[in-house]
Amino acid sequence: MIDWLAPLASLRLTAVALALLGLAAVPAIVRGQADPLHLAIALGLLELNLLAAIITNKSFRRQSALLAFHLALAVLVALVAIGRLTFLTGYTEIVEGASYEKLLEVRAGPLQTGRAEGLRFASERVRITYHPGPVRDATRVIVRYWGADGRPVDEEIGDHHPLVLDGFRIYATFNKGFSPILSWWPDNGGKPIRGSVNLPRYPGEQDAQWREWVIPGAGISVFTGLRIEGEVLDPQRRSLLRPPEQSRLVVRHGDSRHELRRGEHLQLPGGVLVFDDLRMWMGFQITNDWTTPWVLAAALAAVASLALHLWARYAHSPWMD
Amino acid sequence: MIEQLTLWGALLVYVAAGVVAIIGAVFQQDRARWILPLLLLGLTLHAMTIGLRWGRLGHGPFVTMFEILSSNLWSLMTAFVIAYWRIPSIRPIAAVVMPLLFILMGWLILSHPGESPLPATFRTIWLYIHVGLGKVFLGATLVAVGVSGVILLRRWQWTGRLFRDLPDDRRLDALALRLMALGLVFDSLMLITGAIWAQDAWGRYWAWDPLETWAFLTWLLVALALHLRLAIRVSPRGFAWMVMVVFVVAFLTFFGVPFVSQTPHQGVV
Repeated sequence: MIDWLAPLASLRLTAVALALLGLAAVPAIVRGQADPLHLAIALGLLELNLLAAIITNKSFRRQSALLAFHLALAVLVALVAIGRLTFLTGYTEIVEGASYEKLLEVRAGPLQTGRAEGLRFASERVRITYHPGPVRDATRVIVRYWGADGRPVDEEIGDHHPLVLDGFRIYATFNKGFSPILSWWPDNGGKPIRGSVNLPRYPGEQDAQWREWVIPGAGISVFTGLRIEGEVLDPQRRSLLRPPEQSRLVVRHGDSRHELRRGEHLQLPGGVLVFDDLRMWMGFQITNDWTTPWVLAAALAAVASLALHLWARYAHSPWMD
Repeated sequence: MIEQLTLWGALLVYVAAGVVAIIGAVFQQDRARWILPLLLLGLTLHAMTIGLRWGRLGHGPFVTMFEILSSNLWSLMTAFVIAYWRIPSIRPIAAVVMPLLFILMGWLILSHPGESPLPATFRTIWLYIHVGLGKVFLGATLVAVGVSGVILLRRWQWTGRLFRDLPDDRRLDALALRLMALGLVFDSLMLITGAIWAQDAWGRYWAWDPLETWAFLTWLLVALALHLRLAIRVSPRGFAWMVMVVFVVAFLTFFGVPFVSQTPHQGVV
């Protein structure tokens, strides 16, 4: 068995596999993503080479730290591969005072079994401070979740501090903006419908605060925009990003254009549109990858054993004889 | 004002040390008794500059090009001074290393010293750990470059004679290998701590953003160079070229990509 494994254990093959891995990574510089197939081929070859080396290379038996390094590398590669099969990364946007409903974008491995839809949490309050510039400073979001006893628990999340809930990690992102809260009162006396329109992110797209909204249940489409009077963020001083007090909701329907202040309403065909409030929406990233702590452990084990091997090899000889 | 004075003082002292080193190499004279004190003086003045700016801004040299150049110049100089002090037989490599650092100094002088607040995602212990480990990696690589530069310059008679009193290529090559192996350990730790920081700040430990990709390619090149050195027993000159390639890619990663890329590593979005 060892004879046919020997070519697979070759150091030259290691060099080839490393070079292939590098080539697989290069497209990520331009595209922001490496091709999973190319990565899989390169990592697969590296893994075979590693395992073959571990089995056949006699020098590993004399150098246990070197063996441990290569074992840890093999485990690391395997864990990364498993992680890619079982991970989930999702994105959602939640208005202050509203609860999580569903993910708007999802990337998941084919064997992901987590149920992000079952998460129960709400966004209570968003506070983001800005340096003069404006340059973003701290992000603080109060989120509410329900404990095992059913009681609500408020927790502040933000930079470096996610909410960990049912195995999922929930992060506040850079994406946030304003959300007009609207209600629709049908002329036929039906139940009023409440909704919100997440306008494009602020201040990143501050000059494009428009979005089309299809009124739920009414089939009417309106363009809603925010006309902000004054400054939201003072470029000369520290500021707190909050919905501007002085603002008007611009509503376009067909050829008509109207501006509403908070509490004002507009008669449209089929009902009355009321501008109830203006709040913040926050983008949240929701992730699930059970392999993460194990990948870290394997990586640290690999480096520790490599360091130990090099220490044993070099510590007792001068840097230059 | 004091900051500017200490910085210019440091740069002038570094240049003086570099010029003395080059003259020493040309005239085959041991000038260590001048060079080492000059370098230490330069490091002290430079540390004062960084400290004064840190105290004034309330954060360390982690954001702007000026700050990153300044802090890396200091750490690279520190790494070289340690090697210069501890391995006397390779001191003449200062004639190779100092001109490289002159390039950094020139770039630093041309950079705008303007200020920027520390991004919220930089307020973590992992910043210091990640950056510190990266500096050790780059420092080890710089010394390896100095050693490898000598091996390559020996190819020509008129440059080779500058370094004839240095150990032979075989021993220099062994030193370069050792330095790159040390570099691999610290580069690996830098990547790991960077991943921890990214997971903390952005909810994912790896996303192939340009800086992560370049850092990974640098790591791969170090690993590849070491494997080739072991596998096919490349000549000292061949390994010296590999060290040079690693340094160029690492240099681009540290000083180019963060300022070209618009992705989260910029931090201030």
